[in-house]
Amino acid sequence: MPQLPWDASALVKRFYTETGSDTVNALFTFTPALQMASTYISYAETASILRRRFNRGDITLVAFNAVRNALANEVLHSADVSLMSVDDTAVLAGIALSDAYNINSSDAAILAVFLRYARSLPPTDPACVLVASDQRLLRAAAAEGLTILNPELLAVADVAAFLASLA
Amino acid sequence: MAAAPKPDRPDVSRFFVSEEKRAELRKIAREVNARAGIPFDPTITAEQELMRAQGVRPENNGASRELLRMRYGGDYEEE
Repeated sequence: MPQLPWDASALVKRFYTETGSDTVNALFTFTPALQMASTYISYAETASILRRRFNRGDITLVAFNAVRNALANEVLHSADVSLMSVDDTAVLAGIALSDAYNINSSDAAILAVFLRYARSLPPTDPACVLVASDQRLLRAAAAEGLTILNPELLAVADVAAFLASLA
Repeated sequence: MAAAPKPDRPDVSRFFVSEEKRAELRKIAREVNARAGIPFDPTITAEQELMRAQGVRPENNGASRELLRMRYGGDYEEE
């Protein structure tokens, strides 16, 4: 099975119904065989967006409490999601990525970590697939050689075949 | 991903938050939610029906669009 690092632009679809949420949910059903990872920055971004939707009145307090708990339970407290460190060297390495692809510094640092990790794996390993819906980030990742998955563009019926194609 | 390396495998543990550190961060996250008035419930998982019941329209992509506005301001165009 491939390894899936998640960006907040896709992770949030697990907790807030959007285009691609069904595909994201289907991916979650493949755990723990499907190895997933994210970062604390992505967790915080997702938590912040859910708060903003509540502050705008788009969801009730009951729903907000539920999705913030679900986010913590499924990302922070779950053994199925590994959390990657974004260290100072990643922040600096990210400058080259933001220079090249016009992405912001925190996304660039996260991408730098994902790239370093993917490049450290033996070439015979299953693919490392960035899951995101941020087009700029996806373009940057693809240009750097990372396999990408935009859940907005993959039908839920095609998830199993997509994963099998990467194994 | 963060499992102990096998002898013939590269050690990738440096990329991941250690279990010890993660336990500490989980505690902090619980405290943060508690301060925000979010009662801790370890049994809740993502439930899309809850969002639909709120009247959230999936095609609006309200959360991810908001995230892109946070990242790029008005500079982001859907491509």
